[in-house]
Parts: sequence; structure tokens; C-alpha cells
Amino acid sequence: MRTFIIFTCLILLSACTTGAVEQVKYYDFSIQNEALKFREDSKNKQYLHINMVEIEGAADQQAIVQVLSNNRINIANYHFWSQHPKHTLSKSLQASLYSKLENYMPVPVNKKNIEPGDLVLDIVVNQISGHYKSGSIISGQWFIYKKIETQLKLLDTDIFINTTPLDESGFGALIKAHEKGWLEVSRSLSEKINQINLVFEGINYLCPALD
Amino acid sequence: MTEHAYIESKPKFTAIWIIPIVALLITGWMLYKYQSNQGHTIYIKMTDAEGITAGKTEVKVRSVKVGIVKDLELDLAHNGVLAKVQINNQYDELLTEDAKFWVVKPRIDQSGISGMNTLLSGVYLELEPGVSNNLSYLFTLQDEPALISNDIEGKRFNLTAKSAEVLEVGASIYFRGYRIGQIETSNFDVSSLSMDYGIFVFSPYDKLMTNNSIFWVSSGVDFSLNTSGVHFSTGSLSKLIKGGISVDYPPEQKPNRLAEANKTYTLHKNYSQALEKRFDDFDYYIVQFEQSIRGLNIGAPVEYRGMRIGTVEQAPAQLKKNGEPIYFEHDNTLVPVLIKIEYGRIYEDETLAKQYWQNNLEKWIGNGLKASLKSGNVLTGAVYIDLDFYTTSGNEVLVSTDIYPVLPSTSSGITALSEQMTALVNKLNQLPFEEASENLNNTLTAYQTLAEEMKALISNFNNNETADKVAKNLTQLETTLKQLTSSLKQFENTLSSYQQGSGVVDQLTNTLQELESLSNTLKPLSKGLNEQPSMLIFDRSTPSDPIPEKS
Repeated sequence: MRTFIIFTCLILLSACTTGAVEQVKYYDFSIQNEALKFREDSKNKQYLHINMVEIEGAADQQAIVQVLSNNRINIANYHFWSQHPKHTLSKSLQASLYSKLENYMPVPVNKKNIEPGDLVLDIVVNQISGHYKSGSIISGQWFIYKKIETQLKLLDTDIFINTTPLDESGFGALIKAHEKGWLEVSRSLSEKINQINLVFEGINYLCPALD
Repeated sequence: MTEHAYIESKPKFTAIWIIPIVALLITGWMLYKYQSNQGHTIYIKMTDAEGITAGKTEVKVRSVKVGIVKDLELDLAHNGVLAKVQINNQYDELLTEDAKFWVVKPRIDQSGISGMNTLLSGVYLELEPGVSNNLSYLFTLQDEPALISNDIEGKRFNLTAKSAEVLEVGASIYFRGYRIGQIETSNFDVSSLSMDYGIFVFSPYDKLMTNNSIFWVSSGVDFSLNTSGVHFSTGSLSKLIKGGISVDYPPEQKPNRLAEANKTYTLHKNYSQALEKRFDDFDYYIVQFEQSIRGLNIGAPVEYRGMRIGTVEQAPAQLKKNGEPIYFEHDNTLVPVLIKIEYGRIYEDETLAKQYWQNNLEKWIGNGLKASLKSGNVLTGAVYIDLDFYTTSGNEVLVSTDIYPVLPSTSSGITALSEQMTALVNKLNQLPFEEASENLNNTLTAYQTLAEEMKALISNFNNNETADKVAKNLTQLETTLKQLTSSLKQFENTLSSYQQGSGVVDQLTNTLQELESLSNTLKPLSKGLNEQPSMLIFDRSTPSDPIPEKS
């Protein structure tokens, strides 16, 4: 009995003698408020249905991922996204496109029926991580579909890769670089969608039956 | 002084004579003993003395020496050899008149290899004691060993075969594949041109032998081609090699009275023949066909509506009438066939069947019973005789001839077809076509009148109350269809609540999303536990994350 009491005390004492515990930190994008302002011209627009961004590979988790110099991947133990990054990327993308698209109103998919003429956007991100040399890396592929009659037709697709250097050291800077890079991807995507719209308007003008 | 000599008289019998007397007695006793140990002398007649040596060849019973061949002499009068054999005294009871002697030497037969030990020791004579009470001193040497010892219980039967293959002595008797006996003797009877076999059935299997038992040769392979088709079957490997005789009861028959010993059975060539030939009570009939009997073979069945009642005996019938074959008569083109009606096939009680057949046959023929040829097997072209009732033909009678009764027949196959075609053409020729065409014109006129009346009737129908009733019914039908449409819409609404975008699906989606979120939240915990299971008790000692460096 005496041995048991001594052993228990030793365990408790050893717990008390451990060092300071590192705190877990959470990060998220700081979406610009001006991008979410009300648009009066939304009634007459067609809709862009944005599917939830898919993340593949090691980045498909809340822990922040970094590529280290010795080809190792570090999955953070104390630094996390405040929510799964696919939600962060999806919300940021929608807000960005909302402010940049001229003829389409972006809406999350399943929130409205897809009508003929609407566009559907799919994005697959296969890498979103810090990099020991490049700073932030975001790469993947996007797919733009158009609803024609009852089927979705793939209009265009392309891969993207964006690297953004860090302004300063630290996880906060890495998240900022991620946000900056993702906004750049969103911007180039909005330009592509606006171009697609122009092309289709021309086609519709020449071949009205296609739409 | 004169002394008188004392003369002592010699004794008449001196003691010294005891010695030769004792020697004589001993000699006599020895001679008696020798003579008494000599045993009984018997004589064995044999065709030759191959391997037998005087003074060396022993006589044994169950491998125990009981005597020895003392001398061999030529018996010129009988073209043989006479062996003088000395049998030990204590075995004189074995010398019964039915005792058997044979030479044990190396043999190879279907029962296997035997007598190999005599290769070195030389042949010996085997004595098999008999059961008789009379003793004998003269015996005949058997060519073959006795297959069945006298002390083995069982019964002996005889088999007679006229067409079966020749079987060797020692071949087995099988009852449903189980060996119950063997052939003891086989002889070819020149007078009857048949093979006579003596068989021995071991006890207790002799109780299987009844008066209705049938025997056939089981060669191991059975192949037959008849109106029923091609049959091919094989037995066990040993039966395939050795062959033998099978015995059984006819199908669907129970064993009847036990057979007495030495009963003679017929040995058939195969099982099917054994089944066919077992019907002893039958009558012959002649059937005459006005057509070719090609394909009708001897042994073909005679059936009544699918039930076999007899067998074709001769096709054509080899019968003579006034010294000529009856199928070449000048005024008769019919081909006669001799058949036999086997009463055992009609009914199990042959006497009852015979009585029933003979009492009713004339009545049946009067009602149209006739024989015809039917195709039994398209592949082989075999035909059989079928008895059936043909009510369209005229009344027939059973014709009794001085040979056999004649059953009436009718044509079949192509012959019957040509007859029917001829009859049809004759009928067509007799049809009054002109009269028929006139009737047809009249009928068409009547139909035209009927069509005009129908037209007027339909016109009236469109204008009277019947049309109103139909309209009302249609209105009711429309109301019912509306109700049905409403019900279907409700059903559609119910289904839509389970479609994409519906409340139920949304709730389900939200629940799944919450589960996914929870899973993501728990991932770091599971990772930490995986790296440091003790973190639940102690502080985490996980290393710090590398800080991302400014580029």
C-alpha cells in the first residue's frame, strides 16, 4: 500500500514539474467587407453555382501543412485553420467572384435549381501549403459547366498554380499569403468566366438554338 | 577208497535261454509295432504322375502330413498310373469313399496364384475328407482342386445355357453385386448343345434362391440396341475382369418359394434377355401386314397402348402351308409375322391373364382391335407391333388356321398415309363444286343484305337514347380520371419531399456536414494520441511546429 501511494505521488509530482504547454492557435482568411456589399443588378443575372471546393491529399484537414527543405511534410500540431480550409476557400471564392463577375450571380450549389443557361463551377485543390522556398503554394484545377437543356456541358477547364512569398515569418504571414494567392486565383477565374460569357453571347447571336 | 562220483543231472531249461526268448519277444514286438505304424495302404488312380515321386511326395490334409506315396506303377490296362499310398493309422477315418485327392502345385487362375510354396518343396497330394461313413481304398486323382470344401455349408444348383458365353470353373455368382457362390463344374452337353454348369451357393445366401430367380451372365459390360434406344453400362472392375453370373428376382416381384437343392435354372445371355425369356406361358399368333416389315426384328416388343404384352418371334414367320412358305403364296401379298403373347407380361398371375385374354380376344377384335407397325426408334429405324382399337375399320374376326390364329392388322406409317391421301382425293372428287359455288353466291348475297341492315342499325344507334347513356358513362369516367390524377399528384408531392433540395434531404445533408466537421475537429486529437498515447494523463510533449520563414 505504501508503495502504491509513493508511486501515485511521484506521478502527480512529475505532472507538476513539466514545462509550459504551447497553446494551439487557429487562423482564417480576413475577407474584405466591401466585397460583400449588396448588388442591385443581381435580379436580371444568370447564376453561377459554386460547388464546395474539394481539397485532395495531405491538405485535406484543418492542420496547416508545410513543405520543409528536406522534402518532409509537416502537419502542424499547434496551428490550425479555424474551420476546414475547403469552407474558407469556398467562402472566399464566392465573395471574390461576387464582386468581380458582371453577368453572373454566384450562389452556393444546391441553394437554387440549376436552370438552363446557368454556369456551374467546380474547383479541385490538390495543394495548399507553406513552402520553405516559395512561401505559399496553391495549385489545382477548375471546371466550368453550362446547363444546356437537361445536361451539364463542360465549357472550359484549366489548371492553376499560385505561389506567394511571405512578407514576414510566422503562421499568420503564411495564412495571409494563402489568402492573397487564393484571391489571385479567384481573380483570374472571374476573368475567364467573363470571357466565356462573351464567347457564348457571340455564339448565341450566331446560333440562337444552341442555348 | 572208492569214491562215488556225484553225478548231477543237467537241468532241462537253463536260464541262458531267457535271453534269446526275450530277444525274440522284443523283435516280435518291434515287428508288430512297425507293422502297426505302417498305416493303411490305399491306391490312387491318375492319368500321369507328373511331379510325384515315390517315397517322397507327401499326402496332406490342411497342410498336415497324413501319409506318403510309397510306390508308383503303370496301369497299362487303363492308360494311367496307380500310386500306392500309405496313410498313417490315426487318420484312417479320413479315407471315406467320397474323399477327394488332387495334386497341389503352382497354379495361376482367376482366383489368384496358389501353390507357390511347392516350387521348392515339390508337389504334394491334398486329401479332402468326405462325409460318407463307408471307407474305401481306391480313389481317383482329380485334375483340379476341389473348390468347395465339404465342410462349407450351402446348396448346389444347376444352370443350363444355350446361348451364353462359356464361363470357367471358379467364376463367381453375384446377387446384386455381392458374391454369394461360384461355379463348381462346367460341361458341354453334346446332345443338347448347351453348357451345363454346377454352381455352389454359400449359406446363408442359398436362401436367396427361389423358384422365380433369374440367372444371367454378367460380363461386366452391357450393351444393347433395340427399340428403346442404346443402353451401355459397366460393372465393377473385378467383374469386368473376371466376369461371372448374376442372379436376382424379376423387377417388381418378390421372392417366392425357396428352391430345392440341385434345381436347374436357365442361364441367360444378359439381363434383358433373362427378363424376356422368363415368361414360360404364352401363345403364338400370326399377324399379316400389307406393307414392308423392314425394321421389325426378332425380339421386338408387342405392345398394347404402350404396355408390353408379347414378343416378335419370327419376322417374317418361317411357316409352311402346303409345303410352301406362307409369305410367298400366289394369291396373298401379306407378310406374316409370328408373335407370342406372353401372359406373364399382362398380369403377374399368368393363369388368370391367359384366361382373361382368351375369353375376351374375339370380343376385342370385334370391337376393332388390330395390330400395326409403329416406329420404336427413329435413330435405329426399329419398329414394334402395337395393338390398339380402330373403330373406323370394319368388323374383323379372329381367323383360326391350321397353324396359328391370325390377328387382324392395319397399315401404318407411309402406307397408312398414302391410303388416307387416296381416300381424301376420292372424297374431293366426289364433292359437288358447282352446287357449292351456287350456294356460295347465295350466301354472299345474304351477307350483303345483312351489312345494309347493320348500317341502318348503327345509324339508329347514333340517334337514340343509347348514345346518351354512353355519354353519361363517359362523363363519369372523366370524373374518375380526375380523381385519379389528383391522387397521383399528392403522391408526387410526397415523393418530392425526399428529393434533392427537400427538407428531409437538407436535414440529412446538414447532419452529415456536422459529422464531417466533428471529424475534422477530432483529427488533431487522434493525431496527438497516435503520436503520444500518454497525453491524456501527462502534458503533450509534441515538438513545436517549424515556423514558416519569410521568403
